[in-house]
Amino acid sequence: MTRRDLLSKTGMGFGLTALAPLLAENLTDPLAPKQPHFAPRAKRVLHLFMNGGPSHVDTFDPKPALKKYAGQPLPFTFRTERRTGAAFPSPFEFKPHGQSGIEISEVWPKLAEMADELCVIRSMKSEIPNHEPSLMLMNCGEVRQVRPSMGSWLTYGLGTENKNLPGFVVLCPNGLPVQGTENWRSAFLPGVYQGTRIDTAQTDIEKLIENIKPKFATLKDQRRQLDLLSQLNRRHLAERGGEDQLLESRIQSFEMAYRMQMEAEEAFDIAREPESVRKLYGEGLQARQLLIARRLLERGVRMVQIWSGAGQPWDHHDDVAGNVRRLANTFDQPIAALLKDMKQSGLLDETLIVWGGEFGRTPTVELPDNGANSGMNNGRDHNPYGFSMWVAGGGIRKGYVHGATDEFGFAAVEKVVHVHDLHATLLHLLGFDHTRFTFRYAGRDFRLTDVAGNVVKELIA
Amino acid sequence: MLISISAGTLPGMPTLRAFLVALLATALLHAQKPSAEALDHFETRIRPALAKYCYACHSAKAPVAQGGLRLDSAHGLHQGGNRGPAAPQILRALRHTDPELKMPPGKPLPPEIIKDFEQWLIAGAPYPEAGPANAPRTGKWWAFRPIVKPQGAHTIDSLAQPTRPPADRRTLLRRAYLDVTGLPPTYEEVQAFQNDPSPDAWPRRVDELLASPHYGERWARRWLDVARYSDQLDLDIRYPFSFTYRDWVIRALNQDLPYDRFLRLQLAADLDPSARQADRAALGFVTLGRNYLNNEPENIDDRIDALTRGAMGLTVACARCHDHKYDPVPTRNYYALYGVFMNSAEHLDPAPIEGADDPARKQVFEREMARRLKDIDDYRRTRYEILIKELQQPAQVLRYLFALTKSRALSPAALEEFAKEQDLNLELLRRWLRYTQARPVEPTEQQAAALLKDPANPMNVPFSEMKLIQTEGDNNNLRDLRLRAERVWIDFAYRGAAPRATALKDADTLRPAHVFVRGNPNNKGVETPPQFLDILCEPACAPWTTKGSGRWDLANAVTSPSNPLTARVIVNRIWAWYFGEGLVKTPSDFGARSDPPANQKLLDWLAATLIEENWSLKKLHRRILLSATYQQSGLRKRLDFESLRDSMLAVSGQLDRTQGGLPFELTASPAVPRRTVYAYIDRTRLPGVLQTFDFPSAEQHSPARFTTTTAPQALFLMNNPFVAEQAQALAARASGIAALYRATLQRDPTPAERTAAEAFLNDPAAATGAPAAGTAAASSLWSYYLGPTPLAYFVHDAWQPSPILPDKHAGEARLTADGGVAPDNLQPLIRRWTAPAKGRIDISGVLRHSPSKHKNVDGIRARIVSSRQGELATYTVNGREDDTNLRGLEVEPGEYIDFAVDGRQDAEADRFSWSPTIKQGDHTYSARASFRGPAPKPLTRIEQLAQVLLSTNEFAFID
Repeated sequence: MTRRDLLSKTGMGFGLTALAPLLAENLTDPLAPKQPHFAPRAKRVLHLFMNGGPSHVDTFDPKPALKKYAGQPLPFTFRTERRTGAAFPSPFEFKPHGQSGIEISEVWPKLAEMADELCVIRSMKSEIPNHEPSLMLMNCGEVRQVRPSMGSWLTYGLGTENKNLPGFVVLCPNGLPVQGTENWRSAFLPGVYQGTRIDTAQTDIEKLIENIKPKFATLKDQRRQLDLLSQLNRRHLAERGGEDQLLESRIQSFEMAYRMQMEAEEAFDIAREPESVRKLYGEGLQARQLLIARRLLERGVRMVQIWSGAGQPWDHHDDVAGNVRRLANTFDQPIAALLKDMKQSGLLDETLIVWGGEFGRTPTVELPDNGANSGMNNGRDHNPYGFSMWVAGGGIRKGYVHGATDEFGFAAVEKVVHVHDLHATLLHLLGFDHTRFTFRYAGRDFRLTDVAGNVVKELIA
Repeated sequence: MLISISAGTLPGMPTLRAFLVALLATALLHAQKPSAEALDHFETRIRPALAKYCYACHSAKAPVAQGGLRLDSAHGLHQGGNRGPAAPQILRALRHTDPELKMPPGKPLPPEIIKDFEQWLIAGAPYPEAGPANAPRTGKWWAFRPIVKPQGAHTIDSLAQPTRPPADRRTLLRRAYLDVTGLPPTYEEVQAFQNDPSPDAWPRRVDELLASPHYGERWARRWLDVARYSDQLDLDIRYPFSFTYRDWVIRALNQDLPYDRFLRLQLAADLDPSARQADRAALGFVTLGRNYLNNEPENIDDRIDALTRGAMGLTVACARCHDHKYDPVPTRNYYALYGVFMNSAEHLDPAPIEGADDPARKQVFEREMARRLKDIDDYRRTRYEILIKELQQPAQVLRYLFALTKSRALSPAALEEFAKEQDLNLELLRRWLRYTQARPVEPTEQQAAALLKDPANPMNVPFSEMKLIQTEGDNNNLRDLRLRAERVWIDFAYRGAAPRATALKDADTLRPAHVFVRGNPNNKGVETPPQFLDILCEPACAPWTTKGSGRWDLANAVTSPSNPLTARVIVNRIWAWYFGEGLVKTPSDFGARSDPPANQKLLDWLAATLIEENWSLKKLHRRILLSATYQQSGLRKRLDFESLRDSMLAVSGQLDRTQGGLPFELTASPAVPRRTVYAYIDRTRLPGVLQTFDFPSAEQHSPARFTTTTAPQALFLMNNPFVAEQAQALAARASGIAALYRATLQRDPTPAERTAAEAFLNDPAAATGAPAAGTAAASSLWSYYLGPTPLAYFVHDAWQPSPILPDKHAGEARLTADGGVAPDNLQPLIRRWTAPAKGRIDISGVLRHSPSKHKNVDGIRARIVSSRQGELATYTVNGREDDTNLRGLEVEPGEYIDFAVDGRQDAEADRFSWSPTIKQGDHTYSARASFRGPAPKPLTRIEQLAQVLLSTNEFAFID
């Protein structure tokens, strides 16, 4: 009697693991590369997460009308987290760039040179003017309930092309963003799909990936140990009939781990880049993060998410003029370099690069409030009604501006793209019909896009 | 409702007036005899349309009438659903003008059909009862039908019909030990069993195992998955006494508390007259879930979910925003349970569940708590005065007065939207609406000023309701102040408080619950008195009448022997935990979307027997363990992380079998050799090793664990200090190849294995030694102490006195590369540098103490002390920084320089940074750069062999 007979007869899953039958594939090799629903335009994702919510009217959405109303109330406003007052024109100049003539703020001089690579969405829309729910929506497609992040969905759906590295890597220097690890959680998907967070302020490989370095034996000794282990495990397997995927895959996992020790160290070591490349990316933490990201992507990591930093660096409730310039400056050269670099190598064609925060900011000035930004009068509040993001890379329409906010940049009014729509479109480019990309849990088929989302055809080349 | 239709959606339509009249008169008209044409119209146009477009969700045919509404009878039409009577809302629904109410979903019906409905409504919506009789209730889904014990004498084996030969004795004993206790047997125990010819050899082992206190530890952890147990509420917010729930579960299982009582106490120990004080800890099942601060609906949702999926395999939380799509759970039932939890207040029971507090710590606790509570009160009083003054301005009143006319016409959802738009306080607006209902007011300055003189005016918000008017900044500040007060409890809990319960009690003032239409708390539908799930009563459940929240009734309903789910669900879980898969494959979903059980007879027989045997889980375990089905060969599963880690500790001889108490930090180095069930679980930052090994997310209820196989798991076995420590301990207690095999795998090596091991040990090419030594030498000059005692544990990035903080004697004290946290008393926390050579040194550094926005903070004291020359300098800083430079100091070799920090008088956990650099000749000794955890001790060959054996599949799998 075969095991299958036994199972059908008694209903007992001897040797099977809990829930395994519910997954489309075997969990003995959960990261094996998989095919999506249809031929993808891109294979992987780099998400540049500007946490805190960058101001769109100071970066990618010029609003000259604000100058007209400077210091006066706008004809209409929307309720945001805190109270805001008069129109607050951007302190920055916008100019058209490239063949496409996309208008970009002066805070991005180098990135602007790559304008023709960008697809700027000026009509993004989120739901709630607070960080926590908006971060959850942007990352997990749901405001409050516990749902898997996009990176977890992607590694679940596509596996990874390089098992010597984690499939979903999160780079965040010096601490955690608001909502911490929930931003890259796997929720009800297996833990193996959870983002592996790496503190890019660290340079020691041991602090980047747990247990990655042999500390108790030399590599040579470890090789001898693994040879013996393999010998014992092979014999053990043979005694048990020679065929058992669980046993077999655990044997393999040690070999994979041994290789990972070497490859991981190399992947994170940007000193191995030629001088010219390091110069192109420039100095500083963001240059380091982006260069690491590129090294990971070219090694087959499925999704890399880069965070601006711990907390909410782009949360400019005050001093927009100083803060936006300062932060944009840390990213400008590295992002431009990354686009150039990846374009040159062809990597850009199969990678989706997404830039943006969890929402935008008000075109009106935030009023001082006790306990929040006392005494300041030069910042902007959160704004989920309209904001900008940009996407570049595989399958994306280049040098294109999509949608618009109203005259003042308060709310998206033209060709509105909800976060769910963005997710649906990204999944589409990665080869998924977002309505069929599901996971059964608690009696329901869950999706990244919940019950919403439309693929935005105009964003696709 | 009617007004909003006239104002918003149908202006100018010719039939409007007639329509409104008809609607208003519906109740009256339907009693009159309808005309023949009207009846004809209904039978030819309306009934078919209702059947075609509506019955699927709104009739007896639907698994549950959606929105509580049935349209297949006159009664259903008039009684209506969650939104009230149906007739007045039908047109609005059909026209799709209200974004909240578009029916049928998708595209609106063709205009002619909508016209038919108009005509029907105008005619008074006649609904003759003739027509097809209500469809008979379709057969209930198997799980909702009563458990029927199969007739005749049965056993597990007669129902499961095992086919494989029995496992050999060693395999069987190891399997049972690991399944029942999570720990392997010893070699001697295996030998004794193999050589025990008595017929009761196996039953005796089974009974011994079930009597072992380790049984409770093993199986409690499985229940803790179901209960989404965590020691951490949210980021940076800890539960002081979460562990008392964990310990209660362990004890309850060890005492074989009947499962119905086990559940009942977890829901309502405070209401159970037969419960002891210690049983209140059981309420942690409800209280220790993920707590979204200030978000009652989410917190209650989590509780409903954990209870209904965990205990009954029902996904009731799906019925939060709409009726359950697949199972017969209407939204009304969800909100009936919602009311139960809404009226159950969480509180830290001040009475200990056992023992007594350390009097000295209690004094500190009371003093600190009083201070911090006073800080909160002071803040609120000061701010209240300001806020109320701002509010009680005629200009403010005017803003509400102007909004009144428009507001009156709005639905609750629209009112919420409107208030947001106008930047008005929704609750104040509602109060203004009520206040002005009986007295017409003009929106004028004088009127506003006059109204303010009336003490009953809505702007006169009392201090007790300050929450209503405070700003976001106030919320933030108060949250900080409250967390600061909460931390005093953590401190007390870890340093001498008697254990307490995170308990529940019925609210003093009971609030009625309502359906939140579409899950929106500001859009209240019908009231939902507490009652059980209708699908589990015949024909429907009556509201509970016991005074209070209804929690006691709920507990009894869940655990009633007539509840068809509870016994089946736990039996299935236990089956799945033994056999790798349940009889129902989805242990937390027995609903219509799940696969029916592969062997329902067996499931029902086990469930019925469980109830007959007074819900004894141990009897169920025993029955399974004694069955031939369990004793078959060929059951293979991988050890879960807890069993793997605990087994390593057991075979290495390091296992500390202490039961219960405060949690320990899993990643501490050296490892804390306690069982993994006692590890601190932070649901917001699960340690990487737990994630790697498929430990479930504690953010919500977990139905079952995954078993993945990944390279990071192998990396843990190869490189983690825990494994190296166990290999070293194992090799120390079991010298020689045979001894290692016996200790690890409870058997002797085969000749081939012995040969392979000998070859490994004697390989001349072996290069045993340290991997790249790095800066070990420089690091060895630095050491870390609390007073005279070396700091024993390294956790994350800090040296600290105990594996979890607060430490009993020094609070949050720890040292990091840059600084640390000072002890909250006068004990010095010391970073020590030992001079490698004679000569002059220069010390430089900056001492910083982070400014505190709180009162009563006195900062820290830092001293530089030489072992030979005594105290060299003292600095006291509070919220500022100071240079700590000393030049030209002569030192002798071996002399040490202490950089000592203490926390002065207050009970504050003072953060500081101070990481000095010492220059001696050409050498620079940086405290920061040399900061390291414990130095890894390279494995000897025999230790490497031990590690190999701990890594084998044979060790990691149960056969």
